[in-house]
Amino acid sequence: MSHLLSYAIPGIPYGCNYALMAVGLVLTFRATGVFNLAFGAQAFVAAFIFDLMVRSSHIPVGIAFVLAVMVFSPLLGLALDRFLFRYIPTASTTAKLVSSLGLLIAIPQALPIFFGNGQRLNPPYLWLNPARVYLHVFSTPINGGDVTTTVITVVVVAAVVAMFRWTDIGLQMRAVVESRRMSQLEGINSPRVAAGAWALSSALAGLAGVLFLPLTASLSPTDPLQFTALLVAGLTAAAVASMRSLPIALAAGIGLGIVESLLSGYLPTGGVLAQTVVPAFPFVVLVGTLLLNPGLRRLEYSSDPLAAADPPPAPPSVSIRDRRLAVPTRVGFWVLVVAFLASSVTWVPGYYVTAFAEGLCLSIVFLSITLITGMSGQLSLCQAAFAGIGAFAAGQFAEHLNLPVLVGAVVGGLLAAVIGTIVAVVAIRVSGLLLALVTLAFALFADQSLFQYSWTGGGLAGVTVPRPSIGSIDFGNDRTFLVLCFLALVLCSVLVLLVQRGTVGRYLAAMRGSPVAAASMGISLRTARLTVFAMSSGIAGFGGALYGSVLRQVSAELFGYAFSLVFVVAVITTGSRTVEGAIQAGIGFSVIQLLLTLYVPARFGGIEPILFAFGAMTYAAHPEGIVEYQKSKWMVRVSKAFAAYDARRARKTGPPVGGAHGSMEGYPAVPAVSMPSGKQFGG
Amino acid sequence: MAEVHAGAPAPAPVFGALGGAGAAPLLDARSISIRFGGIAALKDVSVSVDAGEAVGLVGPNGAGKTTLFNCLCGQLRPNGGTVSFDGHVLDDMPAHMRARLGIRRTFQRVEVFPELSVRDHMIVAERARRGDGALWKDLLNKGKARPEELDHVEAVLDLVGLTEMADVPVAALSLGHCRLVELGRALCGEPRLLMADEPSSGLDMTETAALAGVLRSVQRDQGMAVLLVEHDMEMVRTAVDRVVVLDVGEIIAQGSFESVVADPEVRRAYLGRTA
Amino acid sequence: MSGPILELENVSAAYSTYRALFGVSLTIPHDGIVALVGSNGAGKSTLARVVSGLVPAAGGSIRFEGQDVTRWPAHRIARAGMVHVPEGRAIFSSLSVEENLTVSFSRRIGRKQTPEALARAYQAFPVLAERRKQLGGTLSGGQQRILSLAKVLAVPPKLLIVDELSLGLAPVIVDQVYEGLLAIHGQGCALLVVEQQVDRVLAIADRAVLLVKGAVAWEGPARDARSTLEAHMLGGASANGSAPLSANGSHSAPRNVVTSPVSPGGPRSVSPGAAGPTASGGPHPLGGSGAGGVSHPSDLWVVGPNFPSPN
Repeated sequence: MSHLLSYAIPGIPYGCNYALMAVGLVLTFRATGVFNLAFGAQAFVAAFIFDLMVRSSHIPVGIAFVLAVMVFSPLLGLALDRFLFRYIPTASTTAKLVSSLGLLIAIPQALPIFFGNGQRLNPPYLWLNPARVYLHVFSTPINGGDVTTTVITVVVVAAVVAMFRWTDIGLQMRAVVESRRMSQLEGINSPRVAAGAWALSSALAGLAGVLFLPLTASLSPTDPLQFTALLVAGLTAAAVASMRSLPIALAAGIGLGIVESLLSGYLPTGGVLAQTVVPAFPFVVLVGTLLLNPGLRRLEYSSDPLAAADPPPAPPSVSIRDRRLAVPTRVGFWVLVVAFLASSVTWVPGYYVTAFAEGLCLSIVFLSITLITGMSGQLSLCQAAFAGIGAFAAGQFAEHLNLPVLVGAVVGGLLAAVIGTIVAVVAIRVSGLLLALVTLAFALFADQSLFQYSWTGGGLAGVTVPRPSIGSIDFGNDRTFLVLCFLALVLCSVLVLLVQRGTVGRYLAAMRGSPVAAASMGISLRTARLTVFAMSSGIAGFGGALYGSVLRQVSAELFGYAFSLVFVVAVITTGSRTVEGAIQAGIGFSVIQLLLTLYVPARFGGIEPILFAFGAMTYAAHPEGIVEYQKSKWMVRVSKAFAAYDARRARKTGPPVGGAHGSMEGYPAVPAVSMPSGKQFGG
Repeated sequence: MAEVHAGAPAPAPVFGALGGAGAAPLLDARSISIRFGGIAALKDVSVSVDAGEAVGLVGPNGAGKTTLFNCLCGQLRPNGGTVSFDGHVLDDMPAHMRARLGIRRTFQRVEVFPELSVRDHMIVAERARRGDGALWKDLLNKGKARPEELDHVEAVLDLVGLTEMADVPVAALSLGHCRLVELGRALCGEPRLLMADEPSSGLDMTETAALAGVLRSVQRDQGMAVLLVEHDMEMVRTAVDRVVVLDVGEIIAQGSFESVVADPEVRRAYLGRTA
Repeated sequence: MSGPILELENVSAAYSTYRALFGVSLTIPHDGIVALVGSNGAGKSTLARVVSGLVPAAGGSIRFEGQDVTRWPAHRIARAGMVHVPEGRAIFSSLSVEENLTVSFSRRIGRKQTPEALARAYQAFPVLAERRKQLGGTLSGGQQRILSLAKVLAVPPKLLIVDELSLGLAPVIVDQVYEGLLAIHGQGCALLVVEQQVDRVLAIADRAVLLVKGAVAWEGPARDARSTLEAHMLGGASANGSAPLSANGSHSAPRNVVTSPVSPGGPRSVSPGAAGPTASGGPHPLGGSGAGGVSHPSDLWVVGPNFPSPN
């Protein structure tokens, strides 16, 4: 019995942090409809600022705490609400998730820009010293950090619950959480109350961050992944609470901490079980909860009875190409391609060539995002994991089985496709937000668990992926290899285009437009989704293997979950619906990275993800991609100019003879239509 | 319940669940009961639609029409009773399987595919009907439209009168035209039963009349059964053979349009009791 | 106390591209009871939402006690004394009976006066007093309606808009509910009663407004309303030849909206290539002559199903 307690009790402080995260997530989601993944980032930032204030500015701990948690964090939350989320109140939950993804990426990347890149060791503690043991409970030592965390969490959550039950503002918040509209009819200023809820949950995130500090050895702005554990567990506890109940979120968070601690206590350390089960455990629970908790089914639907009063979200703009633009665009495209190839092979400096080659391979990986997110409409947050599977497979097969790299790349792709199918079969029962979360869980799992073994990610040293050798061609030369990558990209693009224009592509377009209507026509959404998921993960694996070959050496951190997020965000910015979007994102990604490395101090390296993150934030307003949107606007202007030109010509020369070329292709003047019954329909 | 009036203009048998005159009904719902929380939304309702017959389901707000419609669609599982189509039980059957049995439907809030053109809608529906669509076929570029598909699509476009705007992306069309697109899309599936959920919703009187006309002529041409949930009485008058009136979860009248409209029970349900 | 409490002038509204209201004008006198009737889908609920501020008006103006409230947010309108009891569930199911009442009262008359108001509410409706700690969601339909009425009776507003109050209720409860409405009116509150059950509401109303397909088809004293309403509710408006005419000559607003389809919310412009007569036109009377349904080409609105309506 005392064993049980001595294993269980150390889990409580961790559990408290998880509970704080979970309570914050549930609160924000209920009050504002935003599933704010960026909470992890907000926690991290608060911790960072706290550390900064105490150690660099020598502000007393108590004051620093108040400033970080009760001033800075709520202000950050309010800023997010005011400048971002308030503009997309009626977007789908998934669209808002994408926006919070952008924030999750951007916020930690912004820190080095302001505060430099250095690691911060031995962060300060709040209140009681974690190095000192204060008491023993059932002969388990409890140190200062444990006491601090537990006491503060219990006090704070109790205060929040009390506030909700007994104060006026708490009552208003509960009313707003149930129905923003009905609250307004009662005279409650719903947006203001929702902002208050943001501030409160942001403060909770900040508190979670600061309390987590004693449990981390260092704070590195370029590696906020240590807060991953917080994120995963917070997500899990929130999912157990069905994103609805605060008390359950609290209990689930603490429970998770205790169970984790029990597991690592009981399983023999260093044993196989401890090495595999313990790291994987949180993900299993997360995915299990996401799939099996019936209370989560209604996440995509608003339970606000007056939600019908809200206008539906904005649709993507329809892009109309004037016939006369088609020819110059096509010619220009091929000229560009030939020029690119020719230059890369000849005069462009070596490091650019490498960047281009990387970009081409990344484009292949991004094509997988075009397939799964652009065409199938499912947000998949684990594409980097599939790329990693491909890369590691190719490398390991080359090393241990002497398999030629190109063959290894294809095998890696197939392996990724198989694993992708398994993930899809598991995740296919859910869609939208839940699917995104399941794929995120997989990405985290791959990152923290799957890729950590020597037979997968190769541990610290990583895996070597050699260049291919075909006959006597030396692909060690980057320029030659670039041509090979180019051909691979062309092949994959053609495949994706064939899918897009084929039956499956049309089914997917139907599914995207209206899944309900597609099903009512007899289209099996399940089959279509599974097929595309498999193909998409296969392509990602293949592209990842080639990417590995460019770099020659790959390790697990190259395919971390943060990259999955950044990839998605990049493609979404340039346009997830088209092949060009993927290629622009891929090459843009590498080239911008290179330019930043060359011309800008290291601490500004975060600019690139931040730029792409901004794209993610506009996703809700422009689901086709902000770049694509701008392109369409430009196209429209040109088309209107043509139309005006035509009109002028028509006036001069009279009505056109023969076919009417004055109209834009695909958009004739809407005529009167006569119906079989002889009635005029719509004029 | 009000008397059933024989002598309705349509050729199909008029007697519904009260004892068919011959063939078993195509869509058959027996003793449907549903409770939401403590409220009985439907109480022992039996409705049927014969092959080739057009039936209208009407009733005041809150009568349970939408609930009954969703049960008949197979979307909602009743607490009691069962719905069958052509002998197959529909409860819990996923939507695409029901479609493969020959049921198509339109939606109260129109569900079109905004990025596709009108013709593409029909082509997708056509493909789905044929059950084509394997990834490997696409990759071998066998995904192009075949002549017989295109012919059928043109025929349907002509039937609903959308030939001239076949290449317009649907996002640019008015709501009235979108309803026609939905109808055409359903017709491409060559359904034996079309279920239409308040198709006149959002349309003005002219458009409603035109849509009713198209629906009626198409229904007679194709000989398909129609189940129509509607508020607009003009549409009901034009488009159906037989009307079923629901109030507070029960059927209070069935019969031809004229007989139902004259029925004092029905008038009370709609207009309320004279004080 | 002269002057109307509510004046709507040429109000139109849309849910993205579902044009729901066309140029609706109506007036409610200070102590009047106006019945808003029409079949489902006619726009009655939309009108109630536009008046209370839940849905923005796309055109026209709304004046409450002489003040222009067209652009006011809903909570401000509620505080100004216009209360809207929406159709369906009009109470918070996750709050208790007492919390439902408190949240309403403390917003409208402040926390100090709330206990008195609570006492009044419990006195008028003892069934609520028995259940004050019970969660709203566990009350029966009738009890929920009574709770929403209690909110209004204890603290009467200046104008009360009730939407389908009798929906789903047994006739005996409907009697109680309508008695409650009259009691509220007796405290000096004007009423706008949206109902599908015409007879009930006509029995208490002064004037009636009939909405058909989003526009006012008829408006006049309640006692004259019944025959017109019958014709409309059960069809036969055009066939019987009793073409609906608005009593005060109001026409529906022009519904010719042609937008460039490429960018949502883009400027109103004529679609490129569209020839003249289909693009614009003048106002047209509702329903035409009712015969044959041939309408003026100006009825064509080329607005797709998902684009927001242009403002």
